[in-house]
Amino acid sequence: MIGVYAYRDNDPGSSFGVTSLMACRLAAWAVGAVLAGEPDAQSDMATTALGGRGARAGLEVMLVLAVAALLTVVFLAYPLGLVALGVGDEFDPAVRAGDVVAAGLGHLSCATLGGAVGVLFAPPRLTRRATAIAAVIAALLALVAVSAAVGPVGGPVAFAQAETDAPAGTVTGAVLVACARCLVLAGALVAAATRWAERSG
Amino acid sequence: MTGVPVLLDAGALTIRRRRRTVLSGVALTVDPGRAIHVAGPNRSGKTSLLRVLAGLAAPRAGTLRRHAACAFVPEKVRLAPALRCGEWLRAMRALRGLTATDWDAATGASGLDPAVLDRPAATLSRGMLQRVALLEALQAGCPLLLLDEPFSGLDDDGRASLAAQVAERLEAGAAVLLTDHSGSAAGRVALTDVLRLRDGAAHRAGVPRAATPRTIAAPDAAVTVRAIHADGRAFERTVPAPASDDLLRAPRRGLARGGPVMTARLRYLTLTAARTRAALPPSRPRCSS
Repeated sequence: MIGVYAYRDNDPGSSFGVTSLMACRLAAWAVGAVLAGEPDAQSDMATTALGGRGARAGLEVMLVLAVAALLTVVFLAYPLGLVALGVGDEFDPAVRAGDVVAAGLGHLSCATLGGAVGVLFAPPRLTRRATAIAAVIAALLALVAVSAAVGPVGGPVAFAQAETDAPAGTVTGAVLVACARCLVLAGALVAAATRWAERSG
Repeated sequence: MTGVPVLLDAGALTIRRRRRTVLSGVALTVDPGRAIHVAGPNRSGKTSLLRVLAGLAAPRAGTLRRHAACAFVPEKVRLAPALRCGEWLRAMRALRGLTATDWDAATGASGLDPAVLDRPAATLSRGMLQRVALLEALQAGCPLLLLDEPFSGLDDDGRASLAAQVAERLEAGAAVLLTDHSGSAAGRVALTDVLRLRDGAAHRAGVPRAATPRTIAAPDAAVTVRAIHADGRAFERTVPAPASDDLLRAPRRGLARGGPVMTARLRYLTLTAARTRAALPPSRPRCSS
């Protein structure tokens, strides 16, 4: 992110598009790290206390949303903070409210999808750390391939493309569709993760 | 059995572990007050069954209905190394949706040093972690307790304390399913049933007479134990007969179970036990001690 904003006169749409992709990957890592850091026995006792895998999925969704919200705040606060403090000319044209709304939705949805990928490959589904890391990387690359294949409904890359192509200061339909698609994919991944945990647990 | 709420009801369960069918056709009903010993050789599916009953894994076939909250304690308890026991206990309480409790008092009553609450999990032995996890499960008040090898890793005092606490929960109407390779449960817990797993099937049977606690007068009998400190402080506790052996033995080792008197302060202890005869059906003979 520092690298992105080390340049001056950035286009708001494409800059936010790039950082939303970063948020997706960072969320996958952060959520995976948190879940992998919980020993199996501790996880089992907590899951039982919650009432089973279904309730546990709710807790994991809360984790994903918390991480996504945190990353969204960080990825937006940093450049906007620099602008507010008058440190250099970060954006050209200047950021408008529409850009911030679109960026907020995009970061939130992309990070949510990334977090869901982290959940999918976290214990008890995959218990070997190396396998889990490889699976997360493969899934993120698959999202790029999916985006290339299906266009505007393809997930984070589709959002980045839509945000880059959007006129300055507007929230286009393509941006909203891409965000919605990310959230739908995230929900599907969490459901699959719960099912997988029930079978492997 | 009409009017008695069933805590757990399972029918024709098929349980797979990875690519292996571990158990099939398992039918199980758990009523309040039952202490069921899940027995069987290694790889017979004891832990897999408990995990399915706990909701950690789904059966491949069959029906499973839990009608009450349950607590599960795995065989090898591990907590995040930096997590303090007190933090974990409070978090578990919150996850269960229960109000906060006085963990200092609870740990003291179970024979644990309350200082353990401030220690990170990494500094505790396996046995201590197991006792903390068992304490959490028993204090949660869940009607259904699923305990995987709860006696393994515990010293004599820990086993005695666990047996007494399990007896209290049974008395309160909870049901316990436990595995026990060590054989420690047979002499300490008033087991009511054995669920024997063998060759992929489960067979339920009564508990052999020899496996019942030695001092049982009657399954529903109670024993009142009074421990009197040298300076006059005293505590009194009434427990089901199956737990009395452990309660009686514990103070002799210098540990007063469940009472306000702390181990380190005990210098002299007298003990009296009076059976509450009103609770004993006169027709039931006493088992040999």
